[in-house]
Amino acid sequence: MSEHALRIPALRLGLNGGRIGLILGLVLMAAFLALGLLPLVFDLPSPKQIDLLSRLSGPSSVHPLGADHLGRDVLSRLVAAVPVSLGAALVTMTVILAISLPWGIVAGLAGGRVDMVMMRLADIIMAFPTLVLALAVIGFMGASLEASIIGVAAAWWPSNARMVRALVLSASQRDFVHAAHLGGATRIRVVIRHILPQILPPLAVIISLETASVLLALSALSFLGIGVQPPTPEWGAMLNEARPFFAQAPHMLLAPGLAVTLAVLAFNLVGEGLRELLDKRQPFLW
Amino acid sequence: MFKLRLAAHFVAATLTAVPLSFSTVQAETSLIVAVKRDRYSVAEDKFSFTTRRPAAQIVETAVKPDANFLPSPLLFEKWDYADGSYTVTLRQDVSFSDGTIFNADSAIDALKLYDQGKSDFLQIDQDSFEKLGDYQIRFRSEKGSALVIENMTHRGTSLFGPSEDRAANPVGTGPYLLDSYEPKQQITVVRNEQYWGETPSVDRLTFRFIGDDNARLLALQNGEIDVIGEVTPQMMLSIPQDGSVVLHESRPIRYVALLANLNGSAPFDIIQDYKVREALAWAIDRDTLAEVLFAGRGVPAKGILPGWMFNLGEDHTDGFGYDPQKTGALLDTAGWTVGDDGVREKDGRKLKLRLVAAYPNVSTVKPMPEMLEQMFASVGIDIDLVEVDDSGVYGSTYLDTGEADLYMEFASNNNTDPTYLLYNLFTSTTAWGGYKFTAPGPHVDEMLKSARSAQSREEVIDLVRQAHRAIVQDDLAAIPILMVPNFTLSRPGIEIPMSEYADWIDYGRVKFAK
Amino acid sequence: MVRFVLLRLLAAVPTLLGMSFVAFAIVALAPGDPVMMELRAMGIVPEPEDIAALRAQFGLDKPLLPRYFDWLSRAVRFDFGTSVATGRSVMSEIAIHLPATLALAVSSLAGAVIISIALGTFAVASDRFTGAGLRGLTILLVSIPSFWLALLLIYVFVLNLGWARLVGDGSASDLVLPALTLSLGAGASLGRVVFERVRAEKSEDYVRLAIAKGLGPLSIMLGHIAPRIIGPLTTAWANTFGALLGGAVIVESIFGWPGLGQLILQAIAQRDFPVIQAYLVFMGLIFFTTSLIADAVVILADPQLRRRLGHE
Repeated sequence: MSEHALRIPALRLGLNGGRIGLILGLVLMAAFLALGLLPLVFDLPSPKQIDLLSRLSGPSSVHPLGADHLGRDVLSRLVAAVPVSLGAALVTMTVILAISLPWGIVAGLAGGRVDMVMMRLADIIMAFPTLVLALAVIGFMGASLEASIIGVAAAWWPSNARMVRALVLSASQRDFVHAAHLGGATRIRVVIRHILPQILPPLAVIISLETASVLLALSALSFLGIGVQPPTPEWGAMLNEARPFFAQAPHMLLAPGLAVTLAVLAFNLVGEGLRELLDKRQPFLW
Repeated sequence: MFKLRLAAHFVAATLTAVPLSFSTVQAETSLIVAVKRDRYSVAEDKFSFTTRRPAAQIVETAVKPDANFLPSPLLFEKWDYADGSYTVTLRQDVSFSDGTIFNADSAIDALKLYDQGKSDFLQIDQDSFEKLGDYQIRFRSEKGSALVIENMTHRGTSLFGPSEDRAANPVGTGPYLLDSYEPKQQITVVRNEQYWGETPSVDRLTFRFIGDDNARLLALQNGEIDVIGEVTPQMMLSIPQDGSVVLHESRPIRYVALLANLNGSAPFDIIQDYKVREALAWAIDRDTLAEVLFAGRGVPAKGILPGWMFNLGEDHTDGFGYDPQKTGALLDTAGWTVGDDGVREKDGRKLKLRLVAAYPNVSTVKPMPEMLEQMFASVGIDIDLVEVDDSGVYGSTYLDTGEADLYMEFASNNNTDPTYLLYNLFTSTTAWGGYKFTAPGPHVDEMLKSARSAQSREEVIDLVRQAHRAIVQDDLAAIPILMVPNFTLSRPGIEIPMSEYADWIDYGRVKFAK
Repeated sequence: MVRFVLLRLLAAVPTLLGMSFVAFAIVALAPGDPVMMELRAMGIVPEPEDIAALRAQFGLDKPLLPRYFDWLSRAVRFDFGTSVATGRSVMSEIAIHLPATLALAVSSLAGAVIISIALGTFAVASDRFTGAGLRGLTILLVSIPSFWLALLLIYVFVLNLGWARLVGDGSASDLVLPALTLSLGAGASLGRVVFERVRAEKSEDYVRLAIAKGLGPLSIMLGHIAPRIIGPLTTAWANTFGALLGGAVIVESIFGWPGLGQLILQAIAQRDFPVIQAYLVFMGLIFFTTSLIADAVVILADPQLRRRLGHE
């Protein structure tokens, strides 16, 4: 059966690993969306409501995921953190693309000296560790979620720009792009009509995988106590707060950690799944 | 397998029991204390190496703080102050660890070393040293200050003997000698057999630097260290209750307070209204905070200096209770009425205040800010909470610019100079730039300036009392919350002679249970 | 080849200069003054002239550009000045922390390489469903935040089983948990590289030819595919090693491992400018070395490029 499915990619209906992964990833994303919308359906306690009597208490009927060191409900904090944590990752990715797309396309198309200077500039930033850049930005802006978003974006765009440039380079080598050039199409037109459509599919893979990494980087920063300010719930910050109590109240550590892992996993699965779908090569089997 | 382990246990038990049963005198006693970080500098012009907490045992100061934070004799036996000039009688029969006798000549040499440091805060006139006898000297204060001896209780003013390299071979008169120093790892001192004073009970004292708060606590529970020197509220919340960790405390000394920005520009000017500050003061449930955060060991504060300190007394300030209704009434009369979303507003402006919690660092104040946020939210005050662990950002971004309404600080007057804290935090002429925003005004400036130049201790204390009352009551530049003891944690079987002055906790004299 | 390396080094000079300037400027313009911070921490009340003298001593009173050139002329001789916080030279500060970082980086890389090759080749060699499962496992491992993994490992092995100490003295047994934490994540992402490369090679015609010639899977893997993927793998290893050398900041701080990550966190907290600047330059050097290795490997692995370089 695979013989047939393999020859005609459009009809690949066989359930291979990548496809299962893609579906699983999308299901996970939908689950997070549903989790984020949970307060609209269920009446959850306020994520900021302190209840000192139930400090560090484990899962119970009142607090399904237990309570934290101030007696706040872990479930409602976890849910309230969905838009914050995922939103921050998506905004960061948007900022990264807003810089790296034009940068990579211009460098890739211009070539020569412009390309070299632009890539060297990107190299300069790329050599800095993310944490140091983020801390520097926070130093200038004060501690806030915006500052850590800008910090991560500042550290991240160069490597992204490099990938965009590579995609543009290989796309612009194609014959029909040359033909469009020779046919007198303007540069903008060539970019929009011929290059962008070519790089979009691989770019989707990159965006999905990079969002996963950005999510990890942001949660690491908030685990260090940098980024979103309390009492706003955020997964990394919840882990930071759980840390002193993790011997007595491991439930405080498990839920937000799982949330980060599953969210990162969702983006990674979707990215990998998309890559597999786009991959037309077939390994020879022995 | 089981038998083998049993045998091993038995051998181990006999090995530890044997020295104990023969003689406790000969067994070497050792103690491992975990502190947050390596604070030592080997720079020639700095004295922080060996003078700060862990190795303070090697060198001694001229005087030490007594129970009420008044200077008491150590290397100086007697002193007299008149007209800007100090006459000092030195302790006899003391020698430095290299054999040099401690007398007028070596004491003057030691004091002169302080001019090498570019931040000579003793402010002794370097040309004024006079040898009056073998054990008597005289010197003048550069500023005509009567508080030079008070400042000598600071460990940073310890007296060093002559040495080629103070970092590698610190020479002092203290009960211990430097044994080994591994930067960022640990420092070990051993007993000085020639020490002039009472012999310490610990032969070998090791300070390990463990930066992470949780790691310090877990290491204690794991038996890897004996004592934790720096305890945070979060650690106290997570101490196991099975007796495996013992808490030691001093009298309350550290204050938790909200310093108010009295000189900020919009939007950080709401707090300039005294009624708003008073409303905040009545909205804080101090008993709950004390009970939850410091296991009931903190006490609701009436000020930022404890009454026992310098014999200030308790009744020169009144303090504030917990009365949310009073808060509501005060805010109503100030024009801040409750809006639709539960947040108070006035002329279309929301009652939103930025509270920065950063000093000395976030982990030492957490989770107090979150609890305060909820208390203020319940009376209709919206708090924009900022927690920064970076003191550089705290200083430059929020304090020096005045871009916050409230600054939460957890600190103490850890100096026997009574003017020290109030002068630096609440005068417009402070050397620590940003605190000009928390200065109530010329009247407090005047009180504290007079206190610093007053020529008798009674006069100083009287002015400090007036300034303290102004700051925590009449002007409310600092809204007092709690007064908290110094804490240490240890394994069971150790008794630590606590001091309110963290630099003066004498780890060399802990008592071991039999 | 020598020519290529020399050319690359020459080309790196402007970038390194740019990097050193950014490193210097970020640090110099960042808020926070090490002098004032230290004075307050010591509880010392300075007079204005004391502050001025201290600032002059650290060269903080001069404008940015002269300070930069001054610093650069010393930095090229690896003299980064004296740490404000400890009074030791910056190079000896780095020397204190480098061994721990090296030990952790080397052992983590070794673990990661073993894990990645095992995962990658098993995923390629096994049947479709096991392969997919193994790949799923690598994706899951890459998705776990390292700090959370570290805490889970501590919870299990230190708190519950008591097999390891938390605050060790830097001996080999204390290395196990932090190295395991780092190598699981790095190993999984390297495993993905192994899988991708092997899969890409298996789609090439020469593999079809080899299969047609009747060669067994093992000899195709070792004789044909392995030499072709060693280049990209080396590149990935170099990158991973470079990242580990910078000090895995969070993992080091959770395990109290005294490496470069701890040094930089402390230096930032204390605004120890000379140390931060040296660290950033160090990171830049690592970055350029790894990308140099990567480029060299690509050329060595590609006969056509090698020939072209030889003729030039």
